Formats: sequence, structure tokens, C-alpha cells
Amino acid sequence: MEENNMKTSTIQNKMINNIFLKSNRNNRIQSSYEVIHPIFDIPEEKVDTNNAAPLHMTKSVKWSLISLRVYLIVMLGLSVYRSLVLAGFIK
Amino acid sequence: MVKNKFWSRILTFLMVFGPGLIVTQADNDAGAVSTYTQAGAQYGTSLMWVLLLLLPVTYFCQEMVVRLGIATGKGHAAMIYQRFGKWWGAFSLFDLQLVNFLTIVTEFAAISLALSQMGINPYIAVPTAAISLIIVVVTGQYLRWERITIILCLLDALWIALAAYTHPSAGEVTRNAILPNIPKGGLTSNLVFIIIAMVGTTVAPWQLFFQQSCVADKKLRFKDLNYARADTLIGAIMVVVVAGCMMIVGNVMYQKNLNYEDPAQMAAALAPHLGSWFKTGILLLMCNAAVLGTMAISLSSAWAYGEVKGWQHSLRVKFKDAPQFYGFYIGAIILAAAIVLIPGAPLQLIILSVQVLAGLMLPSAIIFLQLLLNDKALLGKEFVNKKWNNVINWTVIVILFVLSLILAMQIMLPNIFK
Repeated sequence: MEENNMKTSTIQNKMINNIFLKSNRNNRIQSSYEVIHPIFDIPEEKVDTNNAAPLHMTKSVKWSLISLRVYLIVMLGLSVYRSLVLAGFIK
Repeated sequence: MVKNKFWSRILTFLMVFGPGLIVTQADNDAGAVSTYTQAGAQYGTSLMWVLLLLLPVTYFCQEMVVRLGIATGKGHAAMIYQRFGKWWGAFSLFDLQLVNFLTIVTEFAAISLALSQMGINPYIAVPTAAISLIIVVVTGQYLRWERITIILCLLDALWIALAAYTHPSAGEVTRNAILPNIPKGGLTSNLVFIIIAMVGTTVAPWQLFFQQSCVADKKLRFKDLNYARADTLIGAIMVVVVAGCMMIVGNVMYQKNLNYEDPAQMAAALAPHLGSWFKTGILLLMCNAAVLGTMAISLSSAWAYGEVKGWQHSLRVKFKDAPQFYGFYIGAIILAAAIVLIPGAPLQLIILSVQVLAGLMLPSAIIFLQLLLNDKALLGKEFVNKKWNNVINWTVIVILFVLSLILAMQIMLPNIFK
């Protein structure tokens, strides 16, 4: 009887130990972090730019872009003019 | 593998760190050295407040390209082509290539000027710099290139030591940084030109193209976004601090009533007052700035052109696998270096013109960026701008347009300011 009790207790102890070791191991796994350089990491799926719906442009955005186009062309010309004046090519 | 979450974060940050620092420090190129020291030499530290205002502008603009780069994995030029069509794509690319090439010419001119002051023949200095720049990039090793460039960026911090050695008045510098003021003499044509040049040099269109391409080339992941933001913020703070130090060094010329022509002449003029080591320090840092600028700007050109042309365009591949990409980079370097060796180029005029041209083009570049970052069809809800982002960005765009218009008025009516 006593022998049986001892056996049961040893088995129980072993089980407890196993559970404890396992949980310790799990904790160890959770508490270690893998750090991979982005260059060597597996490429991730990015936003699909090729199949995205066309850019939604309101009328105001369209007109703003046209104005911007004119503005940039004029400003580019003026800057070149200013540079030529400063360089002494135009008096 | 690391056991601690804190160290895993630090390590990940160090791995992600790079593009933000490089783009912002390369922005303090030879043109910037010239503009900031000139601002200091002519107006003392009065314009320090402009730099402080440029800190959030730099960060918010660059943060947007980080988001766009991480979300799409593509460069800025490719995105403009895809989303706005060929005209805008071609215009942006032409504008970028023009301003970039002119800027690279000025970088080599600065190398020539600085090393001439140190007694080195430009016909030796310029080709040596060009060859070194080609070797660093054309190795097919992204990480090697990035590490070398980060070291060059950190050398920029030596400007802080130079500025400290001039013993500036801390109270005056702080006051001028916090309180916007117009220097003695009022709103003159020259002052407006310098302010626009400062804006143009601190936030340049090539930076948007460079960082997005660099982020895409480095294959940054969605989870890296916050680390990349921190990298950009550190870079933005450093660029403003270093720019302020350049202004403080120029301030010595202002205090001693010395005539300013260019940074190399300034270095020579300051030598009798602050020692010959100070002169050598300025000249070497000027070279460092020019080398960093040349490398980053040429790369932004090559990346942008490669993206649009559909070439293989990565620093991760060897020369034989991306010959057009590397060839474009090498071609730009060699041509710009060759132009500088033709005698008689008006350096200071070219430098200021380039900064102004970049300042003029910046509002349009940011408008595209702003439209792309509001493109829900492309980015979805996660990566598009938040409302507060848009408020800040439109404020920046309006300010840049106002500055741009002031410049236009100044060009058309030269006597509008005294």
C-alpha cells in the first residue's frame, strides 16, 4: 500500500516537473526574439499598385494641376532669366 | 536571436536606421554649407528661426515618403508615373534630373574650391573624389554603401565642435531661434533670396525621391514603419542642428565685419582669428558635405530613371546585373566632374540658382506627395494621411507657394524690396 502510494507520488512529481519544465521552455521561447535584417527577410506582399483603381480626381484637383503646370513653366522661365541676368548675359 | 524585448527593438531600429539619416545629412551638402554660412555672414544668427520652422517641414515631408515607400515597395518617380500619367511623370523626372545634375556640378565645384584652398590641385582632387564616389556605390553591396555613408553623415556632427569653438552667445542664438525676426536693414531683395535659398536647400525635391527609393531598396517592412519614422526624426533634428552650427560659424564673419564670398574664402578669412586648424576643419567638412550630397543626389537620379525605364535598379545587385542603373550613376558623376574642371564657372551664382530652382519646384513635388498620400484606392485606409497630417501639409504647401510667389515678384519687379 505504502509502496503504491510512493509510486503514485513519484509519478505525480515527475508529471509536475515535466509540466514545469515544459512551461519554462515555453517561456524561454516566448522570451527570445528573432531579429532579421529587412534585406534578408522574406519579401512581404505590398500594396498592389498595378491593379489599383484610378486616382480619384475632382474638378478642382484637375484645374489645380493645370494651373500648377502653367505656373511651373512660367517660374522655370523666370528663374532661367534671373540666372542669365545675374551671370551678365542679359543687361 | 535576443532574449530581451528591449534589445530586440534596439537591434531592429539599428537595422532599419540609415535612409532617414542619410537623406537629411546629405541635404546639408556644399550648397547648404554655402547658403547657411552666407546667411550667418550677412545676417548673424538672426535667421535661426527659419531653421527651427524647417524642422517639422523636413520631418513631415520625409515621413510621408517613408510611408509611401513601405506601403508600395516602389520609388517616388514610378508612383508619379503610375498615378498621374506620362506628362506629370516626364515633367517630374525632367525637373529632378535637371536640378540634380546642376547640383552635382556645384558639389564638385565645392570639392575643387575647398581642396584648392588646401593646396591640392583640382585636376587631382576632383577625379579622385569622382572615382571614390563610384567605387563606394558600384560594389553591389547595399549594407557596405550604407555603413560608409552613415559614417560620413556622423562626421557632419563636427560642425557642432566648430560652432562651439567660436563661443557664440547662447542667449542670442536661442532668442533668434525661437522669435521670428527680420534682421537689421529690413526686407531686402537679398534677404528674401537667402530665405528662399534656405528653404530650397533644407527641403529639396530629390530628398523625396531618394528616401522612398532607398526605403524600397532596403526592403523595409510594414513593421519597420515606426523605426523608420524615428530614423527620419533623428535625421531631421540633426540636419537643423548642423545647419544652425554652419550659421554660427558664418556669424563670426558678421561679427568681425569680414567680406563673404564663399565658404572656402570664409575659411581662409577666419584662419587668422581662429587658427589654421579651424580653416582646415571647415574645408574638410565642406568636402564631406559635397561628397555626401553628390552620392545621394546621383543615386536619387539613377533610382528614379531606373524605376521609370523599368531597369534593374538596386544597390543590392552587382554591376553586371544592373549595368544601366550603375551606368547612369557613373555617367552623371563623370560628366559633372568634367564640367567643373572647365575653368571660369561662377560657383556662387550656380549654387544659389540651384537652391532657388529647387525651392520653386518643391511646392509641386509636395502637392504630388500630398495627393498620393490621400489616394485611398492605392494605399487603403491604413497608410493614407490622417486629417492632422493634411492640415500640416497644406499649411506647408501654402507657405512654400507664398515664398515661391515672392520670388517670382522679385524677379519680375526687382525693386519691389529695397
